[in-house]
Amino acid sequence: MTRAVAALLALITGAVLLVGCGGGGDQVTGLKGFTRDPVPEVGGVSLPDVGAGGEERPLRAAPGDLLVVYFGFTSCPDICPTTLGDVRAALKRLPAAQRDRVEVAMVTVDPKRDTATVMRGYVGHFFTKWRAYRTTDSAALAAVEKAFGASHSITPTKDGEYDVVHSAFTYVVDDQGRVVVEWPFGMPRRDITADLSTLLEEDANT
Amino acid sequence: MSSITRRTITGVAALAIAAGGAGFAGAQMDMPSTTTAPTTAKKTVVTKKNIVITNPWVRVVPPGSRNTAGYMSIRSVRKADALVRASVPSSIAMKTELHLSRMDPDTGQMMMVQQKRIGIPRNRTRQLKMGSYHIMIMGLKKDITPGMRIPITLTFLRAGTVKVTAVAKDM
Repeated sequence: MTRAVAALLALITGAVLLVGCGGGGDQVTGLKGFTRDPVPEVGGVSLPDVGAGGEERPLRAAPGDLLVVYFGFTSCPDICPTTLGDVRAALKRLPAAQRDRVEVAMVTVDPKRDTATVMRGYVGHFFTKWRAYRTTDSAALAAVEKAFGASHSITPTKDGEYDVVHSAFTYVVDDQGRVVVEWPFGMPRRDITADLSTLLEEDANT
Repeated sequence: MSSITRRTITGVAALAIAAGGAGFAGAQMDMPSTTTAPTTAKKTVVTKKNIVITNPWVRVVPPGSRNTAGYMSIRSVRKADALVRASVPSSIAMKTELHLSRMDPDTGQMMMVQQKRIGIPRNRTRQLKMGSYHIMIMGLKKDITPGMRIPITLTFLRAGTVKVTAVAKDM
């Protein structure tokens, strides 16, 4: 259903990203998503994880695991739940031993409406192993977005509410804090499964 | 596909599709739950005037969520038409708008743009689908749970009002 969108986005983003390049030194080959050269390092940034009592945690996977990171907001009716639903479905297709090594983190770009309680309920609805990052410190959020290459903007509307516009990539971070692959919106579920499997097998071999 | 979805199809509507889809006003929207559908039927179909609606569904969102979205396929037989409005009962949500999710080509950011109308080309199917055109259901007053049936009233420029029952799915 979303394959056409993925193809379109691949065309658009292909212009600015290095697509599946096989020559990169420590890059994993055979991935369906995008990889960048140099590989973005995000292990140095951290945010409070309201799923862990608000403890500041680096955006880095646990040893030997992968951390899937998505920037979004819970009032988002279409893009965010579609993406999180795709990741959930993709995880279900992985063997349990691999699935247990993947944690999913959502970073809210709308901390005003996405309170800690809202975030816990939302992310916990989709996943069993999850983190819910939330900060009201806009500079801290901006620093994390910059590390990933993500962005968002908030525009007030006439009715006193506001519209949130945001980049919609999903990032996979390894235990070294490197973004090893990223998927555009509409990435087919089977490709998400394939990439996770490839990365988890790669890790087991090294 | 849930059993609820399968139950909502009617033999009449299925026949209407087989016969070209046109001319069946007032196809049944709410079948009694005891009705059994043909096992081959995969989709909910509602026809009225020239409009054929297939597989209307609403996304299950986590409890306490403010918003969700509705999706379906719309075909207009013989005449081009336009969806100009969609609404759900006020007991379910505060308001409903027609939206298009699209990427801003300059920033790469995804944005939603409210639509005054969604054009339905003649004899072609307009997909209201994830990451594209959708019905944005805003200010939820109750949680949307799997299998829940949500009445949606669609207003078309030419065909007028068409009522469908969407099924909530956790996709």
